[in-house]
Amino acid sequence: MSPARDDGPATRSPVPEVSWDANEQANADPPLLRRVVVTGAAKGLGRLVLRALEGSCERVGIDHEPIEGDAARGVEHYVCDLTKRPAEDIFRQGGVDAVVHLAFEDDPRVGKHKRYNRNVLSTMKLLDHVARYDVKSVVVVSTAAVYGAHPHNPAFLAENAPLRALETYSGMRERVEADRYAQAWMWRHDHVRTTILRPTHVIGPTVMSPLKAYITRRRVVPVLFGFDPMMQLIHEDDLVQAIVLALRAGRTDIFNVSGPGEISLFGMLREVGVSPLPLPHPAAYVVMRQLERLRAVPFSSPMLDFLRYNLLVSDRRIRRELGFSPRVGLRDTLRSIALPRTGKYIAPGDGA
Amino acid sequence: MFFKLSDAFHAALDRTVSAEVEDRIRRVPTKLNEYGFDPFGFNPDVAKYLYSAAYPIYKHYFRVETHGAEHLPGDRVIVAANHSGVLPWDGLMVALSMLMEADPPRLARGMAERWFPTLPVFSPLMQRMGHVLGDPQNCRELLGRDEAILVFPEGVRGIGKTIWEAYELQEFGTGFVRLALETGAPIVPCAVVGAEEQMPSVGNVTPLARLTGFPYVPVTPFFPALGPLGLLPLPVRYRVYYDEPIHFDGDARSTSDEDVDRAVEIVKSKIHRLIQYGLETREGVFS
Repeated sequence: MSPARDDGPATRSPVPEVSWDANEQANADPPLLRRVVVTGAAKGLGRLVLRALEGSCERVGIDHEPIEGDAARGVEHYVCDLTKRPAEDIFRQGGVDAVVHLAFEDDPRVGKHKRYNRNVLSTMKLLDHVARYDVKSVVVVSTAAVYGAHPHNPAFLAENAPLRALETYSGMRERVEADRYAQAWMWRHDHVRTTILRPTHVIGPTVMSPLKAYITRRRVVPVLFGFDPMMQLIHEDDLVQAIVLALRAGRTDIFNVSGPGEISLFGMLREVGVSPLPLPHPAAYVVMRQLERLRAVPFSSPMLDFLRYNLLVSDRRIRRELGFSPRVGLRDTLRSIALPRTGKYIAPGDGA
Repeated sequence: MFFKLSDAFHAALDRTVSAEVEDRIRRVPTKLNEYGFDPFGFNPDVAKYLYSAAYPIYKHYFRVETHGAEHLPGDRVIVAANHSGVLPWDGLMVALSMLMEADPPRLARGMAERWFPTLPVFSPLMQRMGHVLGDPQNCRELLGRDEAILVFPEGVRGIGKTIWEAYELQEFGTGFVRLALETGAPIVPCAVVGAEEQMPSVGNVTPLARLTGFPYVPVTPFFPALGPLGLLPLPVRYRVYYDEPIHFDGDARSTSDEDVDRAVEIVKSKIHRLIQYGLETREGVFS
């Protein structure tokens, strides 16, 4: 007899949770969504969100670059910088009901100032426009990485856990700052329905995330000798589902989004078909710092902590309050980015 | 390449796996995902090697005798035991006794110290065995999943004490009773008799402990005189006793500190009685 299989978190009578009283006001009726602005529209996640909203509203995209391929069809797309005047003009024309803010930059190869601009200043400016031009609701897609991979992390951090990513990883500073700014803004502007989502590592054929960059760019990837943390992944389609749910619900709240389950780093590499190269951790931090300085890697040295310590969040609240439930299982999520072993690309759900 | 080597290594290790231990681990009522993990990192495919390696120590070295394993329920429970013996062999032996003697077999979810996750190799292996970082939130999550957590309410005060204080229970922490109130989990008092004599510490070198950052540095007849060899425990016989589960009713928030203290005293006195019974009925330290 084998142990019972789990397909969801906590069973039986739930244990009382840490109290986290969100703003319960004005959460009753769904917000109007006639014209929706999506920032970061040209990136993978942006294109997926635009596609998910197709037919339900006027879709407006903003990004630094044009949208490629089919996703552009029927989208009013503006190529501009969020911090600049043309972006404000989009809001000044009026009629924008909601904003989905996805334009964040995680690639450490992008210079420091540019990253600060794209992460922090863009968020501040965008939220300014939201307040000034009477936008009714905003969904800010932050990241669970803001909690930081810390040795003292208990399993399943709730939304009120401290954002400790700054303690070790200054490269995370802009993401933490943007999240904190959005949080403070959310409580100050209680007439705008603001939802902050903090998803775990996004995996899928379309999006690019730091974790995906790390495991799919080469056949052998460095890991830290003697460490094998547990990680959470979410398939891009499920994250889009969560974003659309949040947009339609229009709650003023913060939600973690953790996906179908937990897997160890080595288990993940094995499934994807990548070999780990264990390096002693003191040396690894030094080497990575040098590579980072040369802007040679899409991954930065203090991010090695994510390969060392657990960072697990609880998404119990979004499941309960918005009815979110991931549809893509752990195995299919990983297989969606698996390297072809037999010369055949394995698509999600293929089961092969 | 790496995973081929790793699979070959596991295949070679397979001969060391005790069928008995593997069978018990398979029957542990912990829910696993499609990759065989629980969210805290427990994985029976790795745990079977580790518990199999420890099993001869349990069976032939310490010759652990278990009494009252029928008191361990099949769902959420807090096992509270006395802590002793300088090195935490008692934790491993209680864990094995819960695995090998309880019905259904229970996986003891032990609580690791805060510095533990920074340790290479040991930290992931302990996770695969079912141990977690000692944090109240981890306990709550585990009990919510009907797991069995193993706590030593004396903590370092118990394990670091000298042979002159053998079997004197030290001050108990109160966290485990609060957890029981919050989660409705019963507490099973557990006594370990024998571990006190495995490394008879005659005193602690406090300045050295402060210097090295260890919680205590003991002096025994063999340590530090024999160097690392002096850290080997004596082949004492372990006796592990479990008592009936105690259910505490009440709400964690409204229960006063006095009531919590009273509940702690009840558990403490039960463990004390079990220890006294074990000491009176044993014929010798090694037999």
